Amino acid sequence: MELAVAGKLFKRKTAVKSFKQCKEGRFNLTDADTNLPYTIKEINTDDQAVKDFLFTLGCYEGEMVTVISALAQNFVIHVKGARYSIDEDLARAIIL
Amino acid sequence: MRIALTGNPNSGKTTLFNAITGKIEHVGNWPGVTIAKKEGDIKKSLYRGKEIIRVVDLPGAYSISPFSSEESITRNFVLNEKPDVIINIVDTTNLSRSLFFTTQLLELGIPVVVALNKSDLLESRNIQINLDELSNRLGCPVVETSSTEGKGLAELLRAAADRSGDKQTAPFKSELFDLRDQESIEENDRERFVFVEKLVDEVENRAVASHKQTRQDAIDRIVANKVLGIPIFAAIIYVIFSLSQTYVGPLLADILVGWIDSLYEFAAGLLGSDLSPVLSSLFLDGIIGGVGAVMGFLPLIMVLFFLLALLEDSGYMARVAMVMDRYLKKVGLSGKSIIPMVIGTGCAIPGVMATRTIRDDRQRRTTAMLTPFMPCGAKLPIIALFAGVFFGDAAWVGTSMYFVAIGIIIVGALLVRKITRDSSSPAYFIMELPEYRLPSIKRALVSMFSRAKAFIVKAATIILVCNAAVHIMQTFNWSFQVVEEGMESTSILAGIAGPFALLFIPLGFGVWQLAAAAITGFIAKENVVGTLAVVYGITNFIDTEEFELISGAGDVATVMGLTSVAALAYLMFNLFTPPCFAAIGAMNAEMDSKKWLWAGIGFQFGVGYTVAYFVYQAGTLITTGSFGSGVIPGLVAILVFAAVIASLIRSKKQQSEKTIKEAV
Amino acid sequence: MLGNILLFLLVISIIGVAVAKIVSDNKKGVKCPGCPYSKAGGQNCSCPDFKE
Repeated sequence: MELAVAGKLFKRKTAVKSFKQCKEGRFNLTDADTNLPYTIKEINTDDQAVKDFLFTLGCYEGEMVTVISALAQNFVIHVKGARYSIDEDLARAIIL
Repeated sequence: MRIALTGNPNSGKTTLFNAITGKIEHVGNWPGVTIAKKEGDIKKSLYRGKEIIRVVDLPGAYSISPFSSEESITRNFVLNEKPDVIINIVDTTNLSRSLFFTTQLLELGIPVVVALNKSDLLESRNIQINLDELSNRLGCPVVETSSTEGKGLAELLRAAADRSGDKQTAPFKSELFDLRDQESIEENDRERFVFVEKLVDEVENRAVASHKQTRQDAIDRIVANKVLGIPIFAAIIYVIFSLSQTYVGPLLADILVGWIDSLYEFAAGLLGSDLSPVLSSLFLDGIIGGVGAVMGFLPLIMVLFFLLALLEDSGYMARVAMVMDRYLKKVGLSGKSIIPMVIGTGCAIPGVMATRTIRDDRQRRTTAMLTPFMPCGAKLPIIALFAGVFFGDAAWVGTSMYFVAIGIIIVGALLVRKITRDSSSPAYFIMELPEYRLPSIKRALVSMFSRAKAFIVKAATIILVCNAAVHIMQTFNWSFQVVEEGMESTSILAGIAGPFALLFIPLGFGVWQLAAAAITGFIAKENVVGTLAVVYGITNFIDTEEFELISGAGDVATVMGLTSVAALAYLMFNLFTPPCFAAIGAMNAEMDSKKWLWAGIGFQFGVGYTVAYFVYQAGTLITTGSFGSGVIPGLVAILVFAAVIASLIRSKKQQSEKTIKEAV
Repeated sequence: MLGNILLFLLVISIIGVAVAKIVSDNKKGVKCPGCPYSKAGGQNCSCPDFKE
């Protein structure tokens, strides 16, 4: 009986978790582990100028990005041989 | 012949520029130091040719399509002013990103020479680059340089001079595409990157996989730490300040002031007592005394600039921006705004100019308006003076001024946000983090001496003239007769400054001498000290135990007739009012809007007045149990100021409510 | 008397040189004489097209 209850609770938790992920949107830089290279899937922003700028730094679909450290609300990322500091909003826009 | 220096931000362009022209343009190890183009002629020692070669140092750019205003400057120059040769400075430690821009430059038809800069780092990084292959593939000469060590410069210039008049072919042919079609632009850029990647692969031999954490990152983890970041920053600022203000600075200043005093004595002795008292007084007190009083603070300023140069060279500045970003976001700014403010502790003018790197108009203008609140080098003498005379050289005086400044900046930023009600899309913060490096003592010294020279020139010109004028105005009355002792209030100076002094009564310093000093402060903040020296006949502010007083009074504090509270209020007034005219000019250039300029100046004046008022009245209340003079009129003035701000906030609120209503 | 004249000339020449330097700097566009930064500021004042 307790097992069943525990099972139900457990199920609920995982369901909630994936629902949350669904709600918050896609897997982006803020969710990434540090020191692991990821491939950029998309830059999700309406600001074309920022998109273009990121491009010139080598930050676009298909390229690799690594989070070196996540500090408070800023992320230090590594893209094409250089380190940049970006804020949380921008990190959220980089979909992996 | 004109050569343009282009390249990524922080690749070493300005350092190279300085090395080949012999100029001392400002350099710093963070992206965004150079914000305007600078021109200079090449040193004869580096190039023996017939022509004079002019070099133009441009701000850094990542590509020919500009994102920031500095990138536009580069683009405009290269496209419109058609230099004869382009030297593209490439950071060898980052070929793949740098070459993106290179390939774009190679398509312009102007001969290019690539300088592989920072080559001194190649060995320590275990990177090898095949120069010949690279040169072949790009279709232009490639020269290895190290601008910090001065290597490869002559070669570079020879290669550049040789190329003048050549044709340049592009290694990567952009297919014809419609410039308006976003997708085809992206396609093209993507292909460009593929080309560059392939090239780099063939040409470079890299041992370290650079995406792993290194020692640099370890430092960053501490310095930009969630909890430690701010305290570390505060500690660094405190160290810089106390070294220049309390420890090293005054030590050196004492020596200097000793010399100035002997000069005064010597001159006084030479003149003797038979010469016209007006003239001798003008010479001794007005010129030597006035300028001497200001010059006494030169060591403090030199130490400050030395330390600031070290800080800028280390690469820490970009981290400061990162640490402060999330706090600044709360008041509507971004981390980028902290850099102008840190520079502003040296001089507000380059600080305000550094706001150019901020894209968002409102943020840029707000930062430009708030940067002058940080006490600049010229305000240091004022702080040191009052700290010394009234508070026994206590270190808390100066330190607290900086914290008050920060407080004012925070409040100011919030007010601006409330008034402009800007709820536009978030301005993303992205900044390249340069490599940390051990700051070069030599470069810091060069920077310090260049600034010291500037200070001396400023003292010998503007401050000298102002002091002389002030002296003359206080010696004569309106009928051009010499004023008697004790009758100083009939002098021209008193006549002009008097009405302003009335304004300052509620602040505790409604005395014409102090008003005059504050007014001259608008020409140059150092003048406050200079004018006080002339008006009160004091020549030595540093060593307050043994100064020379002409008027014979027992101590400076009595001479000025100020209580400690009033002195503090006066100090804060001078620190937090509008800056010198030159700085206001810089503000004007960045604001690009008369409305904002006058709002900024009005705000600055209002803040200075309000702060001084509260300090004086509250302080007097606490120390004596009753308010100082002019409580009510002062309060009225401040209420007017507050009302103006409140109405601005409300009118914007009504405006936005109206637009919402209309939309509905 | 001679002494006074000499002193007067001395003072005038000191002030004169200072004023001359200020005036010549103003012509070059430097607002704050000696300040190494204001020259660049003045340059960009006259070129508003840099702002995009």
